[in-house]
Amino acid sequence: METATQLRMIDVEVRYGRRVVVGAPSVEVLRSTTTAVVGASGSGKSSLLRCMTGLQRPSSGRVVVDDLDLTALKGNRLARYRRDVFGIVLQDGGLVPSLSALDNVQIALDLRRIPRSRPRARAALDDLGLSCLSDRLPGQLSGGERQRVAFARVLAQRAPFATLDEPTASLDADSREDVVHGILTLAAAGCGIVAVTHDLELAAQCDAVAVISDKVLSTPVTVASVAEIQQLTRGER
Amino acid sequence: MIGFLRLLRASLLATVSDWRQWSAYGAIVFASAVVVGACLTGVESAGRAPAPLGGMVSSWTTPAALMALAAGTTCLSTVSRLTQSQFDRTRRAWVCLGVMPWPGRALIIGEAATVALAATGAGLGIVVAAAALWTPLPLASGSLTLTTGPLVVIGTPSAVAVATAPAIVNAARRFPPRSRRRGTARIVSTILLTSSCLLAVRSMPSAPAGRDGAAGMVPWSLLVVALGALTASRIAPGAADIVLSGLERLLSRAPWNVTRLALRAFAVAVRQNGAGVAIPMIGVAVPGGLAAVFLAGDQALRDAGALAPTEATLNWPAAISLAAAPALLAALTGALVFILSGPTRRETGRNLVAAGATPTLLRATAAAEAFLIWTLGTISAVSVIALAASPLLSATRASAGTWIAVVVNPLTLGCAALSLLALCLGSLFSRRT
Repeated sequence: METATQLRMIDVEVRYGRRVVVGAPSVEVLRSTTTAVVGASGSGKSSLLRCMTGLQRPSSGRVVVDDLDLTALKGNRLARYRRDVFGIVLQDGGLVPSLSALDNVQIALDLRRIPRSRPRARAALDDLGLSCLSDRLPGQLSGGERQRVAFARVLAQRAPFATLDEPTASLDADSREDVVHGILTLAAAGCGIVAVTHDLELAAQCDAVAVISDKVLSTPVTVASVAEIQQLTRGER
Repeated sequence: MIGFLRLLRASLLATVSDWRQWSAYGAIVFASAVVVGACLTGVESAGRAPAPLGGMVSSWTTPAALMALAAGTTCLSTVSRLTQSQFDRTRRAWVCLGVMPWPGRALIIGEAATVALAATGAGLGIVVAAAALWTPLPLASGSLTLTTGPLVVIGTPSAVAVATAPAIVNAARRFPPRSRRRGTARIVSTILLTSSCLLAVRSMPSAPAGRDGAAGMVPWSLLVVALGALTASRIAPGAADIVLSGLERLLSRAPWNVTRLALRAFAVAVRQNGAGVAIPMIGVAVPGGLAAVFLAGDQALRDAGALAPTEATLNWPAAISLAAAPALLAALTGALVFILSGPTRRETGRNLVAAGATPTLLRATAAAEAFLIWTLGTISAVSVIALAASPLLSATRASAGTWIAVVVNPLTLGCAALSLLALCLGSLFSRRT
């Protein structure tokens, strides 16, 4: 499973009741690439990201990793597959409230039965300058610190794909630089990254950008600047 | 005023949306009111019955009422504390909305009091209706006219109020929310309970004496059961916290697995709200203690030659019927404890899934946590039973085998099994919800 190379969303639609929230007719993410998903608040970006990892079942359509239909998996099989294929940063960080920052990173490695999990978790926190926070509980961290700890977990996991929900939200300039550097390093190491973001500068540094407009996620395209993304969001391209 | 009315409306809507927490709380208040009300009906009816019948009925309704009161107050105070601790986040949001301390406190008391009043009223209504329906109650030695007078009508709501009020008042006092401190009142009440329990043990005759012999020691032992159970429910979480801290330090370098996750969840719950340990403890200690005291009394009587080796004063069907109410009440509360802590569990579960946990791991962790709660509760209960039976057993110089047979008697074992089953079912059900 750790050899997974391609992630696709095919005719995915998310509905809450009868209300269509968002659709993704065709999205493809490859290993070693970064894809940014941009769109207005409440446009369904996080829902799509959850569908991508199987945390949420789409109302219709399929999510396929290589040849395996993720939407056909359930229970433990789905959880094991997700565990081996994805690193996940949820919007609020997704840290377990009763575990310290270090334990939150370590547990993800232990659940994957990765040996020497503690030093590896410590190293990931060190990479993001978080070693001084390793003993703190999530409740004692700021929103930005929680996001960085969650990102450190993804760094430590080295999964084939990573989905990041607002990875640079509530970060100061230096911390943001660390995370962006981490994202690009992770992609260079072979990870396929999908980041939902309002940070257009981060989006411009990604290999491709997909925009949600009129409840539909566009096919990811290559962009060179923030101005191009703004044109995309206004529907001028 | 308009702001307060808006908050009141929002609070009422929140009470509806948080129905799971409130319905579990309401269910326990209702069940406790029924159990306490039924036992008080027995006591009141016995008091008004003619001499031989009244005395006979009173001899089993009075201990039953005491046991129901002990179980009811412990379950209610634990459930009230757990329920209130679930709303910390909502109350922090109230502060952001600019809610002033006194209106906030009034709402906290109002919410809980409304549910408690409704559930107590319903419970009391059931007791009064059932008494009217079944009176006169045919018994072997005559028919008993069931009376639901002032003792039932005033005693039941008073018992519920005494059990629920401390947690509600404490929650109101902690608004605006601030970091938790062990309250002076709680420390003082724990010291008072411990002292009275030790005093009761010290005051017991060291050997059967006088006209009553061993029978004279039985009421003291029963008092130790009730006081010991209440004391243990206060002391056990603190003792567990110390043990768990040491254990966690020992395991700090071990990989995370079901055992470590369950230990962590248990340790956090023990620190925050006692983890509901008091519930299995009371469910085992009260019925098991009752049986143990009578079994130890039998041993003392046999030792003195007042009872033939094949005779017994303990009537098992009667003991089981006396123990049924507290044991079932504790089992129901034990199962609902997991539902009461549902929101916290769901958040932890969601984040563990994002970290890579499988549904089986989450279920196993919840079951292991239930087992830890049960283990601590049962160990505390067995200690209380041993303490209550010790003067009688020591007086007869009982062997180790007799000690074990008396303390770990069939009622202790049965109630412990019932309690474990209820906790495991509760943990499984909470995963589904």
